[in-house]
Order: sequence, then structure tokens, then C-alpha cells
Amino acid sequence: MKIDVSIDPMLSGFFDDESLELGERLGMALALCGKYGDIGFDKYHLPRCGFGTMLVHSHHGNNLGIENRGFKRAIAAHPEHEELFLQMERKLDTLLLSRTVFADKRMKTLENAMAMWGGNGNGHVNPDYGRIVNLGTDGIREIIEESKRKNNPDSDWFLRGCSYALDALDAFGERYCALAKEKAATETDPKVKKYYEDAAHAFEVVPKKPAYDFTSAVHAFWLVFTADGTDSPGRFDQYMYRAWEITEDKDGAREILERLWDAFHDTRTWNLCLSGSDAEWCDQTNELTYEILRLAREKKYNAPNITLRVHRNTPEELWDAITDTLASGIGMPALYNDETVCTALEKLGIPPCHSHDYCMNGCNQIDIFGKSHMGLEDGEVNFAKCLEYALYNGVNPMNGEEESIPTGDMRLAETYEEVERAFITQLDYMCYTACAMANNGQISRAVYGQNPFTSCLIEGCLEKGRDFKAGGALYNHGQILSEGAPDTGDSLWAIKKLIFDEKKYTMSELLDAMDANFEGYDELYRDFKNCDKFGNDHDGVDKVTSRIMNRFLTVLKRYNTYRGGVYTGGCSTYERAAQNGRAVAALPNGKKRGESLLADSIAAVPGCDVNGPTACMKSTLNYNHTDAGSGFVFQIKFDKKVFNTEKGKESFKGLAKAYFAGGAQQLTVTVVSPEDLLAAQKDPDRYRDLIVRVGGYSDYFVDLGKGLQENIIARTFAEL
Amino acid sequence: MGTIFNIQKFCIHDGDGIRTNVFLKGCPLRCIWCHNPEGLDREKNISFFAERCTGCGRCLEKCPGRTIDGEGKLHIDRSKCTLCGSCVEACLNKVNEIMGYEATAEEVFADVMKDKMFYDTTGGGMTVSGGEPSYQAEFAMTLLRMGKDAGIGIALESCGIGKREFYAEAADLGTTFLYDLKCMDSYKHKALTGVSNDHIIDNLLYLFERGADVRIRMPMIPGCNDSDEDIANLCSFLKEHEGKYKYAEIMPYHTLGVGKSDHLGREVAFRAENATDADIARWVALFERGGIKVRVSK
Repeated sequence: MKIDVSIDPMLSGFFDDESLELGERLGMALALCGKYGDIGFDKYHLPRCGFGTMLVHSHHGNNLGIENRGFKRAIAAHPEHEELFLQMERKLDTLLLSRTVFADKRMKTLENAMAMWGGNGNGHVNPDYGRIVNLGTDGIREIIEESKRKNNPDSDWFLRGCSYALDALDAFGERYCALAKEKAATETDPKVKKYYEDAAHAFEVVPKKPAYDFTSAVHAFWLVFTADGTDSPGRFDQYMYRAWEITEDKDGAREILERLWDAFHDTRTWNLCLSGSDAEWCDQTNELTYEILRLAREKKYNAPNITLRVHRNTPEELWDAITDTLASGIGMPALYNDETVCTALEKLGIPPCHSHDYCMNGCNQIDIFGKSHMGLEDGEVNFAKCLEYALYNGVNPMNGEEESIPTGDMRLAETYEEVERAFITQLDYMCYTACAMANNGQISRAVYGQNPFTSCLIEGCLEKGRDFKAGGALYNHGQILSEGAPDTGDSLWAIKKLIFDEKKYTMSELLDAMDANFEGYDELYRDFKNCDKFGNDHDGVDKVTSRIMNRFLTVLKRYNTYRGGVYTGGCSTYERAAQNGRAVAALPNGKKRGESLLADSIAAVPGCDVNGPTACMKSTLNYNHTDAGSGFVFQIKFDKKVFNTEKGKESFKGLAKAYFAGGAQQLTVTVVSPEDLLAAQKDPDRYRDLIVRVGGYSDYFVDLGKGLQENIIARTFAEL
Repeated sequence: MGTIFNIQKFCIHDGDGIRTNVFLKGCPLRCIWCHNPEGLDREKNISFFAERCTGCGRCLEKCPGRTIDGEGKLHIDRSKCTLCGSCVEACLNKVNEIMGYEATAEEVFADVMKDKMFYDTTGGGMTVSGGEPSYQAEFAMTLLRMGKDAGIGIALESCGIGKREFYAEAADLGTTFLYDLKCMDSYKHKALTGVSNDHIIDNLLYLFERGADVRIRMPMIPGCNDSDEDIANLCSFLKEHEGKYKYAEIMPYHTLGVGKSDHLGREVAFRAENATDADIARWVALFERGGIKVRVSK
């Protein structure tokens, strides 16, 4: 089964020898793509690279994909090969199909009910692009050679696959060098001509050898970054700093950084992480950190998603740059607290020398830069649905089906503890199911999702001779997110207070009212709706809410990931919050059937935090932030006016510092006025550049769905 | 035991850093533009948010002072209200709200201290406000003393009408004074607020003399106390005492208090529009001409 490289180099390499292991076949495909695939400079005159045509190799753990339309086009162009193409397409389809997550009927039912899901998260990764910039492919080859000497020859196929991937990069480098020379020779614009000359010069050295200045570093970086599918640059200011430091022409460096910034935005690059501390708590802020914050302020792009790590030794100058950047209204950077995140990672068994190397993949999930595959979003558990199953004895009130385990008839409950115990049992069960389902996903990806290219950039893979999808990385923990813990805490507290403490209502009355969606139960509805809510520094409801969240975080750690770590929890709310809300009928916190609003990450249910940001922050500090290894998002909205004054900026700094000193993990800030949002809904064209924070990332407000827009408007604004 | 009508967290415009404002009920002044009318009476009051009423009649049962007319509109005879709270309990739509509640200083202060972590990073603390805090002098002083003992910043927002001893004691504690200066003309002051400013100025001069931490706040009400002459008088006073206060700030008039008065059933004779940007620019310029650089509060 062979097809000429001129028709499709990826397919040609992949089907060259079908008796080989998948990883090696993919490596051969990449190598041919490097030699014969399409290349070209983008509009920023940077080398944009990519693997694949009909056979696609990309990031997000999917590794392989088929461009079916490409097959149709190819068949039209080469009708003589039709039978061969169809055969290949069928084989690839089968391969992709075998990667589907195995789930039994019970899991599927719970997934359809939106009580949980697991296993279809492919996962962003944080590969160490600095390996190409600072070691070069030759440096990585040395690691491969050493591994070959040490390891069992059984894993040689994997290492061969990795070598092929490096060959592909080298081939790209040589061809870009030639292309740049060609372009420089004919280019008439002296500025652009210089760009091409620089590129030609850079590719004489990179990616084979380490970059010798910032320009060559950017070329090497962009080559490997685009080849990897433009995921998350990670600790960019750290691994690019060597090249920045040795560059004399800083103006030239600034210029190419600006071009790179445009290119980041153009490709909707994910997460870029700045600053941070090392294991001795020395601050790692450098000139590049400030340059990037300046660019972010000036360009006001929604991508990349910038996060910044603060800690006990973060300089005041950086805090000023942070507030100035936030004041520009881009909703970035999101702040992470090393003190808490590193502890959370150390609790997972990651030593300080590596825990301080964390950064974020995609939106806001925590990974160890270039050393881990902690599987972004292995799964999710919907707390509100667990409460529903508890109140209805395992039955889903949306369809009347018995879907979850029976935990007792709550109409007969005599104490509040019985209700909470039933809920915890449902929650434990959902955690177990999500982890089990996620492991099925991890197994299928370990076998059918080989990725020699990315494996070259993650520490541990080459050393162990194992793909990063199969547990090759140094750290392989899993991450399950929670949804709706505050809604559930509010509901449980209302049950405790109004039914069991004050005895104003009975469980039967409450359940009847919920069945009727509160129609005809006006007084009951008022009392449950107006009961104390999480987010107001109220001890009672805060304790219940944090107790169930902490339970979730602890229970997850009982389960191991297939790849060889443990599961850990987190909380960040995205578009799914709305869907999760609609999948739940009426709740004791006063949510009615069909309403989509569920709590905004770890913070209060929208509109329920009426005592301002300090009270809401205090409430969230009841959670065990150091048990949340997956990221624990807290969002706060500020009126623009706050950041317009010095006093306001100082107050924000104090607010953030106090919150972090109190043990919080994360803080995202949106600076916008409510009027802006309403106006933007009416007149989207005028507000195209209005950026808001959604879960862990920023996006243009006018591009969001109507439901999410409403949700964002409904969220409380910090009133001053 | 004191009567308060609000504890507001995360205030950043009433003193240094992040603060919690405690609003004490009762004020001897009757400023015609009052923007916190729920703080005027020492006793509790009831507010009716008639616009929320659906005419369901649930509140009629226990309240003799209420009727519903043929159009479903609620009529309330305030003279019959005993503040029993039965309407609050009965209503589904938050039409009735009792303004003010009794609390011990310990209870109030425990709530204030919940935000201590935020005072620590910003040099903030508690601001005792009102009403007029000196109206519940003992309660106010207890709070300030508790604040001092707990090591948080303490501030007092006052119109200056209290007894000399009150300010003396507060100054002993190291209180920051947010001191109102409404008008220098004593007759005009009486016409606008119900009292002359003699005592107020005396107390202020006393605090100046003691070297207390004083910040001057001047409500600017269009057409009331903002004539060229009024501002010139303020300027000459401030100029004379330059260096004795930390800063002077103007507080442009806003209409928020009018709606609150309506709900309280309080007649408001004075109606004006929100201060405009042009008003503010004029005031700032006039102060500048008088040699005084003022801040403008939000």
C-alpha cells in the first residue's frame, strides 16, 4: 500500500510499512512531511509550520485526524488511485474509532444526564519548546542516544519515531533557510528583505543547534510551536530569556517579539505564563516579563491567554505592571499564587524543584512545564445533579428514570445529616464513575494516541522510552473538575436551616414544591430563595459548601490514573455551566427548572454575593485550596472606575495580596462596566474589542453565545 | 447596644485602604439634600417599596394601618405602624423593609473584624459613619476603642456637631476624622441644615489645634452652597489652616437620597439634578482660583 510523497507525504510515510508500531509509523509520516510538506512564511514573515494534509497531526492529544474532504479532493485529482485512497481512509477511520472511549451503559446514562463525564478530554499539554530553542534537535538526539543505551531494545521503535520527528524539524529548518534566501533575493521592501535575511541566517543554525540570539530563538520557537499545533507557550519569559539576554540589538528583539505577538493572536494561541519563583522562592521576573506585559497592554488582544505567578518575593514593580495591564481592560493576566499551587503540587508528590516549574495549559489547568501530562479535563462532576439524585433516591426528575444508586427516600429523613450523607454518597459515586471513565479514555489514548513529536519535548518520555500519552512524562496526574458546588451548598444549607433547625417546612413540602417548580408555593419559594447564600462570609452556609467541595477534592485522590498518577480536583466554569444548569430541575436554593445559571467557578451563585468582594473572597477561603491540584478559579469583576484611580489600584493590590496571603490559589479580574456589556449586546460592532473573562480564559464579549453573555451580565459587579 | 442601619464592606473612598463602614442611626442635622435619610432618625423606620407591591393582600391580616383599593393599590397609614414587622414576614416581594437594627458593639465589631486580613495589606480599617456618630456617642466611642485595641485603622465620619469631649476622646485614640464642611456662612448653614456652624467650626479648630488627622469633605449642592462667594469663603478658611488637614475633598450632589426619602415617606422639598461634569469643573476651578487643590470624590 503505497502512495507517492508528491501526492501526500504524511499518508505516504504512514502507510510505508504497516507492520510497524503506530508511533514509528507516525514518526515516518512526520519525517516525510518535513521533507516534502508545504512550507511558507506567514504575514508576519515568520515560518508557519504544520503537519498534515489528508492525514492530520495536531495538538490537543488528538494526534491523528482525517481530513475527509481532502480524500475526496485527492480522489478527484488522482482517480487512478481511488481504491487505494478508500482503503486508507477506511483503515484510518477504524484506527480513530478504536480510540473512542469505552463506556458502559451506566456511565453513558450518567453522562447523558450531565451528572458527570470522563475520558473524552484529549488534553492540552505544555511541551518544553525551550528544548528546541536552547538545546536544539542535536541536544535532544543526545538524550535519545543515552536512552537507547540504557533502555530495553523493546522501546527502540518509540525512540526511532522520536528521531524521525526531529528529522522532520531539521528538514523544515533547511528548507526554510533556502526559502528565506530565495525570498530575500527577490524582495524589494528593504524592511521585509531584512526579515528574510534574518530568517535565512537563523535557519543556518536552528533548529539543529541552540539559538544564538533572540531572532533565531523566535524562529526556532515558532517553527516548533506551529508544528505542534499552537497550543500553550507555557513559561515563555523563562526559556526565551537566555536568548534575550545575549542579544545586543534589543530594539530588533523587541520588533520580532511584537511580530510574534501578532502571530500569537492570529493563531488563537492558548496559555502563556509569566514570572514565578524557583524552589528557593527567588523571583524569576525578568526584562522579558515586562516587555510582554507592555505588549499585552498596547495590543489588547484576547490571545494568548496570559497568566502570571505571584509569590512572597514578587517585586512591587511587577505588581504595578499587573494592575496597569488589568486596568487596560483585557482581563489579563490571571494571577496564580505560587505559595498555594506549589504546595498543592507537592501534596501530589511532586518535589519543590519541579513544583515551582508549573504553568497553565489551555485555559487554567495546572501542568508542570515540559515535565508532565496531567490531562486537562479528564472529567467533570456536576454537584447539583448529585444533590438531585440524593433528594430523589437515585431518580432523575427530568425524565423520571432511575439512573443513579438509591440512597434513601428523603421524605422520611429525620435529621439533616441523613440528607447530607445521601448527597455525599451520590457525590462519591459520581467521582468514582468519572475517574473510571477517564481511565478508559487514558488507556485508549495510550494505545491509539501515540505522539512521538510532542514526546520529544516532555521530560521523562525519551528517558523512559515511552510516549507521553502512555505515562512517559515525569508526572501523570489526572484532573476532574467540579460544577455547581456553591449552588449545592446553598441548597443543603437551606434544607438544614428551614427544615431541620427552624422546622418551618418539611422535606415532603420541599419536594412537592420542587416537583411543581415552586408554582403555588410562593412563601416556601421566597424563604428558600432568600435563605443565606455562599459568598457572603456567612459561617453556616460557607461551612456546608466547603465541606462538600473538600470531600470532592479528597475522594478523587483515592483513584489512580491509568498513566500512573492520582486524580485531583479543581473548579473552573465555562460554557458548560449553563448546560449543567439546564440539566437540573428545581433546586432548594431557589433555582427553577430550565434556568441555566450555576455558580461562577468557586465563587457565589451569580447575584447571591451581596456583601462585596471581600466577603466573597473570605467565603471561598474555606475551601482547601492546597488540595485542588487542577486549578481553582475565582473571578471578580470590577467597575472600570476602580482602576481609573490610584486609590482604586492600590486597593486592588491589597485585595489580591490579602486573598493570596489567606491561602487562595487563583484570581482572575475583569475590568468592565455593566453599561458596557449591555451596550455591547445592542451594538456588537462598536464593542468588538471588549474582552471579558470566561472561566479561565478571555474572549471577545460579542463573540460569545447569548446565554453566556447573559450569565456574565448577571454575575455580580464589585460595587464601590 | 446601638442602632445601626448598615455595615458596608470593601469601602475604598472613606479613609485609607480597604475599610468597613458602620452606619449609626440618628442625626441632629436636617440637611435639605440628605442622601442617607434612613440614617436621620435615632429610632427605626419602615420603608415601603410600593413599586414592588402586587396587591396580593397578604400583609393586611395583622396590620390595621393598611388597605387595598379597588385597583389593587396598597395604602398605608404610617401613624398606625408599630414596627411590629408582620408585613415584612408576610410579604413575598420585599415591599416592606425595617431600617435599622439594634446590635451590641461586640456584634458589630465581630463583623468588622471579619475583613481584618484586607485591612492589614492596605492600612485600612473601620470607619464609623452615620447618620451622625456622635448622636450615639458612647456606642461610637466603644467601637473606635475596640478598633484601636485590635490594631486596625479607625476613622470617624462626622458633621462636627458632637460634644467637644467626643472629639477629644476620639483624637486621643488616634482617629482619622473625615470632617464635613458644608458652608462657611452661619446663617446660610442654619437654613440649609437646621443648625448654625459655630459649634462645628469650633470643634474643627480644636482638632486642628490638637494636630489630629483631619480630612475635609465638602458636599457640593448645586444652587445651595456652591455660589462663587460660598466657595471663596471655604477657600479662605482652608487657606488659613493649610497644613492642618491632610486634604480637602468635594462630594458632588447625587439624587440617590431622593428615592430613599420617598420610600421612607419623608417629604423632600429639595429636588435637584445630579451634579454635572460642568458643575464639577466649575467647582474645581473656583477652588483652584482660591488657592486650594481639591479632590473630587466618586
